[in-house]
Amino acid sequence: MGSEGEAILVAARLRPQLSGDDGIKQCLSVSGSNQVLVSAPRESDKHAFTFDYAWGGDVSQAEVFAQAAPLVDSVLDGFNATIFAHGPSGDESPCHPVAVLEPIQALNH
Amino acid sequence: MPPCCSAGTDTGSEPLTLLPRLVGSGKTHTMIGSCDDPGIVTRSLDRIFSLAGQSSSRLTCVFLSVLELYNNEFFDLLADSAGDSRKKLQKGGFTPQKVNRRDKIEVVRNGSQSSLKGKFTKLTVQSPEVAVAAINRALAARATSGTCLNDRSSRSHAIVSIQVQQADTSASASTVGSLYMVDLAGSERLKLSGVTGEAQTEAVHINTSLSALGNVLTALGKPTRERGLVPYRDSKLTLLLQDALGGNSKTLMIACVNGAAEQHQHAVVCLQYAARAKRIRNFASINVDTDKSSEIEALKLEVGLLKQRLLDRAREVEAARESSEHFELAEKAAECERLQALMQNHESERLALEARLHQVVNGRQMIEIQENDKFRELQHQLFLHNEKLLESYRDSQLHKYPPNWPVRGDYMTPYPVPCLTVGANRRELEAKEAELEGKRQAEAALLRQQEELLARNQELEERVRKLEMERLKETAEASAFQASKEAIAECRTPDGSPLIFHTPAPITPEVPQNWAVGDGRFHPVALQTHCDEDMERRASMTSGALGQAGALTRKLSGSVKKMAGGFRAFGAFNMARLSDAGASLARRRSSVESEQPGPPPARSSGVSFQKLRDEDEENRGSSKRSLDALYSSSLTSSDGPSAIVSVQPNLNHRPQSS
Repeated sequence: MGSEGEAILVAARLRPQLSGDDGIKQCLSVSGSNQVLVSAPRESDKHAFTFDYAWGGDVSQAEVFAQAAPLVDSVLDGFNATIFAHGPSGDESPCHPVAVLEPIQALNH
Repeated sequence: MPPCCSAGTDTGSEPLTLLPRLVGSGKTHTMIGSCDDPGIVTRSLDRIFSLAGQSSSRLTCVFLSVLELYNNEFFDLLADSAGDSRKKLQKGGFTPQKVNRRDKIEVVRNGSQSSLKGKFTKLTVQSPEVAVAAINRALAARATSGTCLNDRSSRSHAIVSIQVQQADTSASASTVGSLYMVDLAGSERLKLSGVTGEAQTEAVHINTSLSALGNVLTALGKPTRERGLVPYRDSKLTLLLQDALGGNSKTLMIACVNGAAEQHQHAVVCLQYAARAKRIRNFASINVDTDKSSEIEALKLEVGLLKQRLLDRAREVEAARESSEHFELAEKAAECERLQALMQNHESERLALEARLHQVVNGRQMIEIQENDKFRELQHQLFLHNEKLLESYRDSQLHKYPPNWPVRGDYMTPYPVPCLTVGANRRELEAKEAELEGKRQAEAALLRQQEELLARNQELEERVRKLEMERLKETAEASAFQASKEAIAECRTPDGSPLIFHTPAPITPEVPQNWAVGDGRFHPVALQTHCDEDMERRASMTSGALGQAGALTRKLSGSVKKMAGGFRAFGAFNMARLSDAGASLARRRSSVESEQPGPPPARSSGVSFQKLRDEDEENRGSSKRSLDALYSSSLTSSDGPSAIVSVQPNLNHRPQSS
């Protein structure tokens, strides 16, 4: 442990593509093992973020955990470890419900 | 609340809401995951337990706590009433619930590291399955709600805290590592997420904590000398994450972003956050628990408690066993008493029976003695009576017999046998029987003679038959001769074919010289004359013999008949005499027996017997005479030709000339 300390590990994970996402334009992509590219119509809005790990939508849970495993191991050695995930909860576009089905419990009443 | 968010946390069940597309960035997916595809939390637990199981020399304790930070308050999601207090808070509007200050869960700084303090569940887990089950149960109580943006939007920050305490069995020191896994709620823009009221309050708190986190990250991103005071205390979230961000912890921060172009702005903000965090440096060190921290104390306490429980259990078992033994003993004692009582009963019964037996035996003996006495008395009386009887009998006999009359028999014989009379009679009888025996012998001799005679007779008959046979043969010869003679006279064979004399005839042994012809052939005329002469001679001889034989036969049969008659008569007579004699004897004997008591009849039997004997003698003489006569007659008839001899008729019709 040096005086400079140890940098925290930062990873970015793109949400896996779901069936409902077909045909939706994507603005993010993963480049290599640690870069996330943000594509934008305007050239000025384009970004490239570099993290410790960058996981695309096709990366499995096991592959994600493979990078978290060393932290878990260090816990057994007496270290503290923290793993947290953050991110936006949604977008600002209005929702368009097609149908709302009551829970089966409610139907039974 | 917009209609699309109607069904939610209040029913506690999953609202099945169809949205045009799924939004959200995948935070919960990454951290918690699903049953089929578990996230980091489940995988971490698996790994911890598998690693702990590998080292046998180290004692590993895993404590699990699950909390949620909702509206800037910590809630214990593992508590039985998980979610209740939060719901109260939700229902009660904006006033935070009054909770005992000591029980309130707070983040405290303890030296260089922060920890949670207050009343919350710290579950000791032994296996990943138990831990995951507990976590799933806890997360089910987590406050989520479907917003316009996400059908299952996390409305609180979820914190899964895993403490791993490892004690080396050889060393006194132990290490304590804490793993915090935090699933943050998503930030959102209030005016666009469409939440109001309660949800709006949630959103406000979420955004406050997240902005505080952003501020911390920003502060930490600056170089140390420019940084100043890091605003950890702005939010409980940042307080909790103080170690993770720039403290004693190894940290992995995962920025989850939705790649949809519509969320471009959000994604960029999030990525900028993450990029800022990249610059944060932590100073992780091994947490050695040298001063026997509360964890060890708790462990020891637990061990003591367990030991106590074990002892209690052992004592319980012992007590149960003892009580059962005691019960068994008591049972056995009762059994013994029962058996003793039974034995006593039996003993008394036996004594009573014995007494009764004695009584019976004594009574029997008494009766026996009495009976014996009676019997002896009776015997004596009988003896006296007998004596008396005998006396009287003797007196009466003295009148009939001389005084020296031998008295035979004993007391039981009522009358003496008149032996003399019986003896005389017996002798007489014996004599008669001897006579009879003699007669029987004579009769047997007669029978033998008769048999001899019969044998002789048979012999004679045999001779007669032989003679008859001879005669018949000669007759046949004569007839054959006659036939051949006729055939010769007619110059043909007896069967009709012409006769040619080539060979000499079989019955002509000697042929006179004058019969022969010059050419060696017999002259038929000479032959016939010779044959005729011969025939006549033979016929006369035969007829003479036959006549003699017939006469003899007749005489014999006559004499035999006579003899048989004589025998029969004699036998019948003898039998009659014998039976008469037997009958008279029987009569005599019966009469003698019936007359026994009296004196024997003086002479009657002797006279009758004499008569009998005379008769018998006479009979014998007559029978002998008749037999002699028979004999003599038969002998004379066989010796001489005095009897009439008649020629048999079948010989008479024989032709004397041909």
